[in-house]
Amino acid sequence: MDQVGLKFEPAVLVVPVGSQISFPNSDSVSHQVYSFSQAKRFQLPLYRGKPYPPVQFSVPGLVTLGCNIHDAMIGYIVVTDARHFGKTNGQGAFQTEDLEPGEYELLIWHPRLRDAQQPIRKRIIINTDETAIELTVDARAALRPKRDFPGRADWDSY
Amino acid sequence: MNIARVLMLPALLLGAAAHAGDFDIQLDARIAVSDSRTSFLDGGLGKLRYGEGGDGLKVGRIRMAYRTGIGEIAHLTIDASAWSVADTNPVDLTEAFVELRPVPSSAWRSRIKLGAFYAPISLEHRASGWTNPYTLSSSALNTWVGEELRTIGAQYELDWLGSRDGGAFDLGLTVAAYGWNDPAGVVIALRGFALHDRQTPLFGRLRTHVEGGPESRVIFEEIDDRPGYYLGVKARHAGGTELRFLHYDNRADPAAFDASIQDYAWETLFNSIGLRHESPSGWTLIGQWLDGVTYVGPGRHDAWDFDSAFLLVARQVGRHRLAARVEQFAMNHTRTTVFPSLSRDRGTAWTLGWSFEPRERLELSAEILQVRSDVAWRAQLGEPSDATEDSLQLGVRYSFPFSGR
Repeated sequence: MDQVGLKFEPAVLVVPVGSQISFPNSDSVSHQVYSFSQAKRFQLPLYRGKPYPPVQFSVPGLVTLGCNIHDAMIGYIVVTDARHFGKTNGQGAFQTEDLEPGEYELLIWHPRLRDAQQPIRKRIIINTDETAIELTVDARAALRPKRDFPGRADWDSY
Repeated sequence: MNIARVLMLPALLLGAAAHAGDFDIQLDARIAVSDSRTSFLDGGLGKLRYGEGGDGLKVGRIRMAYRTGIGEIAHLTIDASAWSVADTNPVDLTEAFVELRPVPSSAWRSRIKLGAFYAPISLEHRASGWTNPYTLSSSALNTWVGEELRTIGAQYELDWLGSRDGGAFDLGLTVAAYGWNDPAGVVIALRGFALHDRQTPLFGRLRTHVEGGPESRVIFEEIDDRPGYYLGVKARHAGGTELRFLHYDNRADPAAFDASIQDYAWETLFNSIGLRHESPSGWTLIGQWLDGVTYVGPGRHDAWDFDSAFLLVARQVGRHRLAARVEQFAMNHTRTTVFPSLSRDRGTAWTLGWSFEPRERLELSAEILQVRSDVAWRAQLGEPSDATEDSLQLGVRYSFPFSGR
């Protein structure tokens, strides 16, 4: 997960339990990445470039990342022990392989969820020979308004 | 007592910080046209930085800032600027502080600032170097903050980072103890409000018109050896809203007099409230209100009330930012040993600002401002007390950041 233009890039990652993630800083200013989430507490002392080895994420759950210098920076790592998972693309789709027919519970997580610890849950049934399913979820009530504020990323940070 | 001793700390730490940090050099040039009265900076009672006889190409600010980490949890910021060749020191500090910022291990975070820095009052001054990105001239309220206030001491902030813990709110509490700001209040009382972007340097003076004529006032000085304090709270919602409140009291002894700067300690107290809302569609709304009083002399024999409020609306459209601000300000000599008092200021202003970043590090800006005011002291200069002052400014700001490693 890179840091570019005072933002985590990508801002959301979903990874299986046990993953190792590195946090290079491509900005010209130093960052100090931390998390105090239950699923992973860690901090990387002030740095630029890529001075640290990757961080291991061994516990499933949501890890919220911040930079101790730039409060506006926020990133999320969803660490999952699910057999099938993925991050949706701009069309809201993701792909997974070797999905057996049967009944599944689908957990949908979004950075704007009002309760970040409570993903939206849906039961879905995968029939034999089915290659794609379409699901519409009305999440308006569960999501906070979109935040993509005017102004420069380095404001309010000194 | 001089503030130089206090600021030795950051300087020593600078020496200790053997590894180089980040430098930022900014050049800010202006073209100003105004029908204003003679600027207070030139001994008049005009409210603008570039007043009568001040048209033409101007230095807005030459800023040199340095920031470096000290160990893992602290960093040092030094901000020096040149504002005008007429200043006491050609280059002087506006801020110099060390901030201890331990990495939070829970949603509770503590931060400590030591040195000289701004109290969390302005919601306009968001860019580095306490720069206002919306308009070239700041609101009367925040202009006063830049002129007469600086925390020279220690500040503790306790934040609850709900947004890092699955919630929507961050909450914060700020307390500070400080000294070397006992003259704060003298300029608001004797001159009234102004609208500009010059910050009084820590070792510099504020040229202004006071009773009897133009003077240069020392603002950052300890006179009574009594520390002041402020107490602030803030709340920030992830939806883009921030609310701040601050109670300020410099606890000065208004009977204390310092012959070396020919000034009393001015006992200044105020409350300040600010609200900023930003919408995802590019709108920003800022409102601030400040209401205070300053006393001087044994038994607080003179008192001045002052208040100011503004509302600013800004819209970001691509690389362009448009801003409009309306405001009012008032100062009144409510208790006086001199009768009738000539210390009174009342006015309103509107400002339209535009800025454009054609590329990174380069910002072009323009501003139209009109301030109408009634300043009783103007009678002493043989001027009508009422004035309408208009100004047009064009600005170019370029920054050269470079890193020491």
